[in-house]
Amino acid sequence: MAPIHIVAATGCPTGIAHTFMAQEALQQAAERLGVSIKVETHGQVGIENALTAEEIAAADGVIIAADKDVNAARFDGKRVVDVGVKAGISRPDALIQEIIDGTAPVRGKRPAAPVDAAETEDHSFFGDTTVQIGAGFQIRDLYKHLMNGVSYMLPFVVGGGVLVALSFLWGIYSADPEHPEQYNEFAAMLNTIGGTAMGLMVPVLSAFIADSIGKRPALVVGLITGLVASNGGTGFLGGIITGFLSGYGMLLLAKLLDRLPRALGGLKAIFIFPVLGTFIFGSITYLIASPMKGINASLQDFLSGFQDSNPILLGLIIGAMCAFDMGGPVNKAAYVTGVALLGDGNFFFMAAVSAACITPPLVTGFAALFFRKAFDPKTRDAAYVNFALGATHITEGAIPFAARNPLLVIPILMVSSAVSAILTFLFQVQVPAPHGGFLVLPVVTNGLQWVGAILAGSILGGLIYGYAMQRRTNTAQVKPSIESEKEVLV
Amino acid sequence: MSNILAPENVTLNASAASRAEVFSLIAAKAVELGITADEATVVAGLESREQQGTTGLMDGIAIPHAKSAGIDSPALVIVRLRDSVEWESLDGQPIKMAISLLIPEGEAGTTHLSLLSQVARTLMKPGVRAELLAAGSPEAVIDLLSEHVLTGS
Repeated sequence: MAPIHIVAATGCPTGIAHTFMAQEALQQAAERLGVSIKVETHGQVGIENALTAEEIAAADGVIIAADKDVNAARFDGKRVVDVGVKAGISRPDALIQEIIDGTAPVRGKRPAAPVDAAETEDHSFFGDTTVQIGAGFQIRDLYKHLMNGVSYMLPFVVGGGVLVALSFLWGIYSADPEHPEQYNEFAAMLNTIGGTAMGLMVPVLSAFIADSIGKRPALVVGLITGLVASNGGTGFLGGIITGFLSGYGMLLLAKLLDRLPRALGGLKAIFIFPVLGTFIFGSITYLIASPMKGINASLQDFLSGFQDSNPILLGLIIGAMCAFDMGGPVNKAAYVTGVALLGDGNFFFMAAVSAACITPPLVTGFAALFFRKAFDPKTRDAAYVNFALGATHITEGAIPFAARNPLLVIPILMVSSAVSAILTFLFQVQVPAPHGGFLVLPVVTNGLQWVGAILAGSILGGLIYGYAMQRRTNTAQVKPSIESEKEVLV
Repeated sequence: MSNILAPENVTLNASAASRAEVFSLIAAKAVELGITADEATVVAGLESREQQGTTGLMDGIAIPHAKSAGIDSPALVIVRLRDSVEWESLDGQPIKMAISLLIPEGEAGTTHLSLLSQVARTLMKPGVRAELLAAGSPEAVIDLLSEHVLTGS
């Protein structure tokens, strides 16, 4: 019998003590009873150890030990033991036993889908090959799938980009035996390895977009079509298209093949899906590769034209986008474009994006440095830490500051990032690596100017932000904080 | 965070006849430690949390806590009594030791709050409650807690 897995959520009004004691008690009881458990805590500092939809779906049962709302609707259809937080502390074993015995009632109207043992026969050798049609299609899903692809792609670009850039330290032709004056065997090796990694960028992007949509059968097709597209010169846009094509295409194919006799189930996973899928979607990719190449090329031309003719406007847009939500979708849109363009050999765009992403945390650091009194000691420490975060391209460091007064801080950060990005364009800086902040300085072209551009934007922003904070502190002096937290004991 | 797990915060062999007296002891200690300037606020905070549901646990240990604007920094105040007092608890036993969490209003000091949570979590570990009740000195109490809190085990 498969081991029993339980998910649980604990929460109490104060969110300091009982929440965590219940978590501890449940974990220990689970160990005693030989089941595995994951406990999500709804405490004062927010939700920790959060349960994912997959974990909830895979769980044999749910224990809610909470005296506050823990968003229980997501457990509909599961067997749920729903008790107060104290029961979680005083009788965790009994709660878990209810799940083990299957006596807990099913939450909500819809019963959990019965698991048909015959249906889940083991094709486990091939991994999860079931392709499922999602219940509802949402735009948000498109973003999720795209970001899945991007997150798998990034390390390839970082690894490849830095190695290629390093090879240029021996000269721009260091990898080319035709130029014996610069040729260096080690540089050539770096260049080959890095180039291979960069070459995998589009296929990997495509593969993991597809994987996010249609699981493993789609991964295969997405990888192959991505490589076909990449070889066809379609650039990253092609990879995005083949990823979605393969993912949703395989979902459709699975639906069409649903009527095949069950006996062919195993054959489907190992033979029919890969062969048919690769043939169909490979062919489509092959056919659209050349128009895609055209579109990609014109986009490149447009961007580089824009870069040359109107660097200020482009810098303004990039800066504003990067600082707008710091790591959110708008920021990512600019960032992904920068990463994608790296693959096409445009290092200018990435330089501007990096500058704009590095600036916001530095702004908070400089503000605290220049206007010490405007920040309380803890905030000041956090701001100083942001020097390190900014220097390593972790824009998210600025979020706590922006979250406190978004209407004041975000516009300041947008202006600062825009200044950094515009100067970066004007200084013709090239950054060949999509992350790392100042750590990649050795491979940056015009690195000194780049640092200067970023510092200019950051110091300017720091002055404005610090000044604004100082005025606030002076006017608002001892105004008691947040009256709405009236419930003395949250 | 040194001041959270400090022996000064622990009083052993205190005497109190009721839960209310325990709260007064905690509040007086909090003033002495400079955690608050307002003794009454702390007592009121502890009482009002108790109204929402008892903080008495098992084996004679309770974790009264208060969240109030009158509390300046997150802190732990531990009081062990010579004689147990009546206190509604999960296992019906009277309370011998109060491990009190004092929490300021607002979001200040997240790290400290997590530390307090760790202390609470520690109380659920096997044997810890008995060891706390038997600890011979404030230092031993603190050592016991820090050992679990800092190693996370």
